[in-house]
Amino acid sequence: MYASIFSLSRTWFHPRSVCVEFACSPRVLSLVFFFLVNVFLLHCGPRVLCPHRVCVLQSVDAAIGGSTYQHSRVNQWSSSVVENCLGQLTKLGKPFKYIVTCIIMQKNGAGLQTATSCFWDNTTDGSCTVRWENKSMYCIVSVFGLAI
Amino acid sequence: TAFVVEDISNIIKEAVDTTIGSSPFQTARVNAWTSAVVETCLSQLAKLGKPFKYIVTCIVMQKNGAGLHAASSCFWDNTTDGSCTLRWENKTTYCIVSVFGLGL
Repeated sequence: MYASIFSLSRTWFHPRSVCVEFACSPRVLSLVFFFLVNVFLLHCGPRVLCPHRVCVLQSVDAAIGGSTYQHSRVNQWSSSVVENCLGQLTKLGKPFKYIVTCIIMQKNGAGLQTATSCFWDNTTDGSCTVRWENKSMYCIVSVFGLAI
Repeated sequence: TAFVVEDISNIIKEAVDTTIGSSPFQTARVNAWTSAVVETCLSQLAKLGKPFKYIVTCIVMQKNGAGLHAASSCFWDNTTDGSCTLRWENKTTYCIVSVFGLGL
């Protein structure tokens, strides 16, 4: 089994040979799929997975989209982003408490650094941060999910 | 066992004062500042020994006229959970620290 995975990983960078091998051994195909899914899940985090990231991106696109930074509207935008995100997250129906934070910054050369630190249960809780930008502003949305 | 905003606010202020203080904004140091602020806050909060999970976020921004807006929304238990946000600044830097505490 391990020899099969190793040989397929060597051919990963050669698409033609990978196609040939897939056609010959469906069992290896299922093993590779299992391996790739686990790598993807590890990258996303233990509990907060793709649905949360999708919720955030949809909320930001809907609220800000192709807009230009306007001081008079940014308050409404940030509120809209967090409320939309929270609404979408609660609709997922998972047993989590959620905290959603949103930062909107005008693009004019200023430096910005954010950091978070959490004291929680690593096995059940997780977070997801999405960075979005257009021509005139940056938007950083973080979602923290804490299991009930 | 309650989330006392005043105590948390004092912890945050002390952490930021000792980490950044009157230092001018420097790109090379800002990464270390944000890490130090969140870690200091979290260690002080853990020392309180209260039955809470904590999330600490820190934003450090250079003062050069850019607009910045931060918002947060929470889906939790209002009777046991709470938050505290402190806005701090010196001549060259803005710092916004938020602490969210969720009762166990």
